[in-house]
Amino acid sequence: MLELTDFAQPRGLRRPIDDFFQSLAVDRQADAACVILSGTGADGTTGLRAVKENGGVCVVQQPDTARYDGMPLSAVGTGLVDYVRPPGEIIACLSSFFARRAGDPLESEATVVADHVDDLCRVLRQAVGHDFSGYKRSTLIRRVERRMHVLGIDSGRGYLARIRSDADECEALFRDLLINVTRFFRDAALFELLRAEAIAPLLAGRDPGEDVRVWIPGCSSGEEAYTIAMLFAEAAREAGEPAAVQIFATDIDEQMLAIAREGTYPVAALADIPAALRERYTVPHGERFTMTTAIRDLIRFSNHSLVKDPPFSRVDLVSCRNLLIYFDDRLQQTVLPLLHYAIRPGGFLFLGPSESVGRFEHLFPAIDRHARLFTRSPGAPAYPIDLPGGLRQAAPRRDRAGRDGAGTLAEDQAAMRRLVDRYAPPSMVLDQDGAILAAHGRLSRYFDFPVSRTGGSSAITLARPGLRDVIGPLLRQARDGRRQVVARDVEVANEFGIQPVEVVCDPLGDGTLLFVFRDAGPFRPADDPDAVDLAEGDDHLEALEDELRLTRHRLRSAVEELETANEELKSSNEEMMSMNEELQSTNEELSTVNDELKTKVDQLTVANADLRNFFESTDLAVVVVDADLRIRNYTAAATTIFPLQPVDRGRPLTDVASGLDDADYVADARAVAAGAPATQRRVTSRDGARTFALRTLPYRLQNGRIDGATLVLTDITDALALERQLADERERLGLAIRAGGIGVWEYCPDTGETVLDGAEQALFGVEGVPGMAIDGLMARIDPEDRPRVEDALRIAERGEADFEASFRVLTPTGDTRWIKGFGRTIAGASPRRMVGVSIDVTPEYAVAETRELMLREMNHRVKNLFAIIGGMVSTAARSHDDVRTFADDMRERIAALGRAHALASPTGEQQAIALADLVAATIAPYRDHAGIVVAGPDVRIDRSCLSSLALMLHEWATNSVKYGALAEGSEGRLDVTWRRDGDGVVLDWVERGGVGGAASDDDRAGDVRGFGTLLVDTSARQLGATVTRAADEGRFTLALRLPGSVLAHG
Amino acid sequence: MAKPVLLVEDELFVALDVQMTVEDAGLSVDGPYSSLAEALDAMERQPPGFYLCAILDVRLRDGEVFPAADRLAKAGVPIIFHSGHADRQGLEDRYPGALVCAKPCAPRMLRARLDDVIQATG
Repeated sequence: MLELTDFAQPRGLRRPIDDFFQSLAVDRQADAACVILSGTGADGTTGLRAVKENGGVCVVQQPDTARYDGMPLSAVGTGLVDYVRPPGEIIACLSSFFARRAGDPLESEATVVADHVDDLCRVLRQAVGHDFSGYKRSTLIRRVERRMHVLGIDSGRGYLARIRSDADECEALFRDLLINVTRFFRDAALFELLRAEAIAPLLAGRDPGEDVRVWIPGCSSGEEAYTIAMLFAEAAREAGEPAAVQIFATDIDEQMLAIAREGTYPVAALADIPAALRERYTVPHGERFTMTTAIRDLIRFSNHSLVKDPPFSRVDLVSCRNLLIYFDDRLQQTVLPLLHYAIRPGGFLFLGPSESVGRFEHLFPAIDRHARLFTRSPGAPAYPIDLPGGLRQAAPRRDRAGRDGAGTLAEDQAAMRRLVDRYAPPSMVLDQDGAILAAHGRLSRYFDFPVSRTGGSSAITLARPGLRDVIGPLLRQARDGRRQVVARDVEVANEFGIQPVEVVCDPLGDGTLLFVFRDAGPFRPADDPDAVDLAEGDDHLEALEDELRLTRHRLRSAVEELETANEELKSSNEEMMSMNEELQSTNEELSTVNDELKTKVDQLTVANADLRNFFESTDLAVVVVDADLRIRNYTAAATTIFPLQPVDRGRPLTDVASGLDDADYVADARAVAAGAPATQRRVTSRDGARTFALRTLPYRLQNGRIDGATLVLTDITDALALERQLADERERLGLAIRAGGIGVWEYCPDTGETVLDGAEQALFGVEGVPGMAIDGLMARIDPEDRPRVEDALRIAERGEADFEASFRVLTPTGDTRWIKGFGRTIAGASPRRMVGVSIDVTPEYAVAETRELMLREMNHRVKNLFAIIGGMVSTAARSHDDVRTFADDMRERIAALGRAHALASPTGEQQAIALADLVAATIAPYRDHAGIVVAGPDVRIDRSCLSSLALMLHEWATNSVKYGALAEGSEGRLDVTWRRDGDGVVLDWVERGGVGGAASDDDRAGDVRGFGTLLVDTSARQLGATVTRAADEGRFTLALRLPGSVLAHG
Repeated sequence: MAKPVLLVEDELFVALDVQMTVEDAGLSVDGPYSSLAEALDAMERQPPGFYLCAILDVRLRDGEVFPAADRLAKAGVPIIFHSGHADRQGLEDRYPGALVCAKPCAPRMLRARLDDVIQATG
């Protein structure tokens, strides 16, 4: 689970990689693996340490492959990096490491390594000068194994060979062995106890002229040292005294010391520090914090080995926590007396929770056993004769003996030692300067071991009064003379008395000198208080010796001070170096920023070029003016309107002539530059030929402030012309649609919605409903036509064909209206849409119906005529003997019918025929036979009566031709007159002066053998008319009374 | 005496012709009636089944002949339609068993139809 947080620190102090590695290390422990790639600064280095402390693995990009090698170099500088690889190999490297670790059987490995630990320690000691043979085996083995995983070596022997030949690996192992974990206030309760039991009393009881001295061996990265410093500072503050304390924090790992000196820690560590102290003694820098200078100045960090180097002295408090656990028992037993020696009587020793003073309880009685706080027992220090440093020579010798397997030799040595210690006179081996190299037997009677290690090594200084004067001369004589020298009657004075001795100085072959002390007489106890006087009654030599000792003491102080100064210089140097590092990282950051700026400049150059190209190529007329309306820039197209020259840049816009017919644009620009919103107006050129859309926009700076205006002129002359043309077109189209009564509709098949214009609404009788649903429209369509329309719509929806359908619409007023519709689905429209028109075709349908009706009528009439003719033929045939006459008569009758029917309008519309026309047509063939008068009012007769009336008149006419006034050669005359009579008409047919006088009606009738009469009677019956015949004095009268039904009405 | 044939025909020349044809077949004619009203009036005076058969024009001056035809059909009188604008199918559907002679009709054809009726009634 990865949780990201925002940066809290200013740029340059951020160390996200450190923080991440620390978090990773805590979370994954030995499974953590960190990889440091290119980057500036030293980020990752501290985090790397955390990963390593928890047993993880660390890989760093090979610095020469990195663009910024700051981070990789810093990481490599710690010496803790397991692998340095080019980027491409890192993944493979990590996989193989974890694969190796997963595959290793650890138990067998342990034994493999254990066999070689001693050899490893020896090699390490020779290489780096530190002896780890006294370190705890299990820890050693575990850390060595980790190195073996890293290197891929699976046998202890192989690793031993590697470490012998590879100094770098030695260094790496050294670093790994020293990794340890420390924290502020680790075990806070114990520190509280330390404060109460040790720190407060120390401050309270100190000598006003002196500082409290504290030694923290194995201080690692300094947290413990700062913890104690804070405790002292706080205690001093509470007591209202200056923090008179000097803390020596030592370690053998220079890297750790560097961290400690810096005094900068991740902010996460703040949680360990009590809030009050945190506030007072730390200075946070976002993700990290530093200790205040006041605290920092209390501590002196230096490289010092507890094991190897001489211990500090007169120390009030030693805090040596979690260091002894790394030492094996033997080394612990060596170190504790050393600490006893270092701490002044009444001082304190503070150990880690899992450490103890072992069998040295008499040296360190416990104050609080649980807290591991001890006090140093009073009394003189048991001088650590067997200095740990001696192991340097002793160890190889012992090892060599062991390896030879010469047990007897070892026994001889033991015997010799026993002999020397117990049975030989006390003796010691000195070098030519008088420093003690070895001591045998009970020497305390002759030497007094003072507090300081430096003084202690000189036999002259250590010698008790009496002997002190002798050793120097003896040494010089024996050294210069290279022979045995004896000093007799030497009286050695101690607190209790005087021992006369004989001192033999025997130079040994290797330049060292053997001193043997033999008692020359019995011990004379000094029981009288004047003994002091006796001691003081020294000769001049003793005074000189005293002076020398004082001088030496001063020298020692001076040296110590110099060392201190040196340490301080080192610290300063460290600080300078870290400052240098900071500067370097700042420099790297600056170069990064520089790179970024370069990129930005490039981008700006491109953007500028783009802009210039735009200005040069665009057809838009653009003029940019500043807040004072001075011309800042313009496009080439703008010069067609404003005659601008390059030198005009900077001239006020008002000074520039323009091709526009008014100068409102200046006012616009002024208003917009003053903060008014963008405006738009239409302007025309001075000659009126061109029209422009002028948009005036505010010119905004990067920060949004308005600094001028941009005038954009777009030539819209063509667009306007097009717009007008379109409007005309549209108007014409609309007019056509209106003139044609065409309804326009739109239909969306998916929603069933329609949009109808006014004409369409009127067609469907749904005025005022522009968007009726299709179902509502369908309901208006005659049910007979509906399925057809729906089918056509569906086909059109699918785009298979255009919509075309004729259908009847039932309007709300009850009329039926014929409509023809056309439509088409708009290709690609979404949602699908269909647009079409409807036309009212009702009149066309009415005409067609009428025509059909007429055709039927004509058909009927023709058939009827045929039937009449057929009937006449049948009837006439019964009364005619002579076929020729019959045929002639029939021929005439049919011709008469034909003439009569010619009067009827062929279109069939005219239902009425003028009686005058009918009479005229009937007697037309006989017009020249006699004087004929036809007269009467305008009377029209119904068409259905035409045939009967025509037949009647024809019959009368033919009779008249045969027998009457119309006969050939007759000079008679015929009057056909009619008059209205009531609702009917009376027609008078009057013949005068016919052939042979007025023939009687009976004659006539007889002549036609009854058929003509039958014909007339039948016709009259048909018409509902009556015929009256009369003949007198050459006058033959026929009166025909036609009823009203014969007349045409309307 | 054989039953008369009812003749309804508004065109008298045609009626004459038909009447002659019927009489030539040895039958008597009641009519001709030239309007629906006259025809209905005539039928009113006679008991149903009075007529041997009826020869009817469809369109008369005062309307179509169907009220009379319905009454005749109901009385089981065979009907021969003699019409110029006969919708043959419509008439046959409406009066099953009715015969239709399209006007103008050959006398022989009408005679054959009459013979059919006489045969059928036995």
